[in-house]
Amino acid sequence: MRKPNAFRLSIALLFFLIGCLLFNGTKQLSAQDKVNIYGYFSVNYENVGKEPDGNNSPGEFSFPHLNVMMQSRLSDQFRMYINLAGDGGGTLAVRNYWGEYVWRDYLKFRAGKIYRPFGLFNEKLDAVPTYLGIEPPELFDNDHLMLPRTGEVMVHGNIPMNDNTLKYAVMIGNKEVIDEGKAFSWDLNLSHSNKLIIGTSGYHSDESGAPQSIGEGSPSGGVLPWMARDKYTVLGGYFQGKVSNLTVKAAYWAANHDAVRDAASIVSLDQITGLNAIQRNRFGLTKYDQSSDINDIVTNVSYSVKTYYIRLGYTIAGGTIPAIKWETTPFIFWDFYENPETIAKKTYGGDNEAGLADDGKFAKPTIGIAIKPIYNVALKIDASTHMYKWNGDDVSYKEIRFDLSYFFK
Amino acid sequence: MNAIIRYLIYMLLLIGFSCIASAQTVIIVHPENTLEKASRADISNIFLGKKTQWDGGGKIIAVDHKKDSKPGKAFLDVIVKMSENEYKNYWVEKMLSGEAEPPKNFSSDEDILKFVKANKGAIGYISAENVQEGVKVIPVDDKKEW
Repeated sequence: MRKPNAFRLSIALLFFLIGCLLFNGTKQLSAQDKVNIYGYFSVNYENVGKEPDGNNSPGEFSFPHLNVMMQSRLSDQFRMYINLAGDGGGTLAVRNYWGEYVWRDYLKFRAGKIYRPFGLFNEKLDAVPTYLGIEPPELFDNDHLMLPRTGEVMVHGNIPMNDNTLKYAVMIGNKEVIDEGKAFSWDLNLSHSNKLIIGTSGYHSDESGAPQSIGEGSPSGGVLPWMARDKYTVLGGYFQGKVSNLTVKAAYWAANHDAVRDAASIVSLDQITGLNAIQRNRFGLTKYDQSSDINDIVTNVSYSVKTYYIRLGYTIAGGTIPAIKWETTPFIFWDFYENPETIAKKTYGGDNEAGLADDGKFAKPTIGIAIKPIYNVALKIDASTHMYKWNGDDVSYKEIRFDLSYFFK
Repeated sequence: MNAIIRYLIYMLLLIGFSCIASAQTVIIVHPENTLEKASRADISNIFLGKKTQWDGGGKIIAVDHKKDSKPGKAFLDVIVKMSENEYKNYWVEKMLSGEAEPPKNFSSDEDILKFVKANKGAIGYISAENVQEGVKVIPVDDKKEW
């Protein structure tokens, strides 16, 4: 069972307060030792066009979305961080919280609920005003996360060498998947002069059960709700380069699963969602009907989930009003995602795009523009098309998004 | 002919004086800091939050200047080699991900001098003409001013 938000919020605030009490006054505090509060507001709108299966969602308007971050330096070597997020409905959730001890820049220890360093985006997905585009890459799309976004204990560091910096992180623990065996991840990257980043990340999870049951929505990690157990590894690489005003980001990830399906869950899926012929074939239900033995269902399955993206943005600085240093960044993306072990219904842990596709694959081109009239205001508009094969035909549907965010401190 | 030579000499002197008169910028630290010199990359790494501890131990407290000031502009051009927007975006991203804390901001050389004099771990940059006793100037790539 996932713990309720109020519980998590209380634990995080308690964690923050105990830290303050333990350290306040016990160590010489330097001039930067105040609690630093900052964050952003955002307004977001998304309109999904009519999908090939006839589904037609109304536009979704979220207002206002609020992220508040607090950082406190309790001594020269210890700092704490908490990130609270709330939507218009009034609910406030703790996205992450941690305490960090810095022994040297190359050896830091962090504990709490920590965003996993993994590729270019995971730690920065709450920094909406700063990154290109509105949607996260498919790797961390909430509909089909390829791995859990957070962990519990991390050793990390950075080693500056003139204009190059080597960064590493090793993380254990997993807040989102229950009954997890051992889970660990790593990230290693080399950056040059803030112009180039090249890196690799990996995640491995021992035998683990699904965090959600069928009907509880999208999984909060890489284990699907109909799995009795799953052992999987995610591996890939990423790149970011800046040449003059052009920014290029690219990544490739593959998750290899060695899983055992829960036969009773597959029966439920079949009854509730009405799997199509291709899905029935994939799930080993070709000979199965109401009178068949449940043991006829194929339960052992090995499959790979793959994704890649390439994202380009060109920043045009300056404007007609010289006093305002505004900038405009047109961008184009190409995202690809493939998952042969999914279904079409989000509610039951599936994915509306890959789940509907005959072969579990879709591509998503995006075009958009980000306008920053001042550095702490970002207005973004983009449009995407999901393209895949359905019942043997090439089909597509469109999405339009709008996001306005304001960073405050 | 003499008039032309005189004219050229005046022009050279004028250019020389204008160079001297233009505000050069220096890196300053607390006098007790053991740092004697640094490379441009070292200073850039400090102000970008990649290096947060002095080699001898102790936290580095970087203090930033207003970016529309002459030292602020020189810092962006020579040290971090970023535009003002790039630098601000860089720090917004670091703050929102909790990855690092931005340098403290001051709007005048006087405020930075006062802060660096009072804090052992502090490092800042000011116009060379405003350097006073109580701070140590650190050459960057063997240049005292830039």
